[in-house]
Amino acid sequence: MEVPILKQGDFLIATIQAALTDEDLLHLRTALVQHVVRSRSRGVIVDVTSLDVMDSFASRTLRDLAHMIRLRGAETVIVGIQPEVAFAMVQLGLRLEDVATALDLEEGLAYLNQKFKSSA
Amino acid sequence: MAVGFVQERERVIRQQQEAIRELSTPVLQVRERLLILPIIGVIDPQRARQLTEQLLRGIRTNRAKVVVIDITGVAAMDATVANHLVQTVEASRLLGATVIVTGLSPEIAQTIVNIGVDLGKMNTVGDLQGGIEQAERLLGYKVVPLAAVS
Repeated sequence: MEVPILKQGDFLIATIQAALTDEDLLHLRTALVQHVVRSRSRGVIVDVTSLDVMDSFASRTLRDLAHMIRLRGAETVIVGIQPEVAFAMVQLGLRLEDVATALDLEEGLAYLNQKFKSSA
Repeated sequence: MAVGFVQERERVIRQQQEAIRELSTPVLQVRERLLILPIIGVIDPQRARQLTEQLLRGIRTNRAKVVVIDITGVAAMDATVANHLVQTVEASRLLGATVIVTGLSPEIAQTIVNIGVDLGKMNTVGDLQGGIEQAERLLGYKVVPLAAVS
């Protein structure tokens, strides 16, 4: 299933709507990393609210995605991780090191706005 | 007859345990987007798990940005529970909330050092007052006496 990537001002928003296969995740990663420079975005939000399982591959891909996007000059926020998913993740040792996280889309946008306001 | 009595008593004990558990882990909102979680008494793995569940749910419903976990009332904890505490801190971060742990006793500090936790990720402050002050700073609040304002 293709994940739509929406442009909203300076940011890109990718909302994952259903469980993704590993291939879809890699596809999303490639698409976002390409898109971020082409659209001159400064921030990327990946919304995982509808995921009720996050395996090690998904979490590693998201982490790599965030690191790659940082190298491409933008900031990534993962939003909407469910409480049960969050706890399952840390028990499995999947910690999304050095990746910003926020409660939901609204918080994610607020985080990015804050970040760019202070650096501007 | 005797079996029925024992069963009834077991049921009452279970019910009371349940009630104690319910009471034992309040998640309280002190300010908009600031929660505190005072923990008092012994934490066993079951209580630890329940604490985590309530806290994570509380973060979601109150849209909390900062959580202060106060463990002044906990004298000691074993490695399993300490590890669980650290995992709770990590999980809260995944929900976008910052956790400040306050009131670590020397014994607990030693347990945490012994299990080799990366303290860079743990935000700790000596006492609850300091923890709340730091939380207010993080949220951009500044509390001043009324006399200083006027």
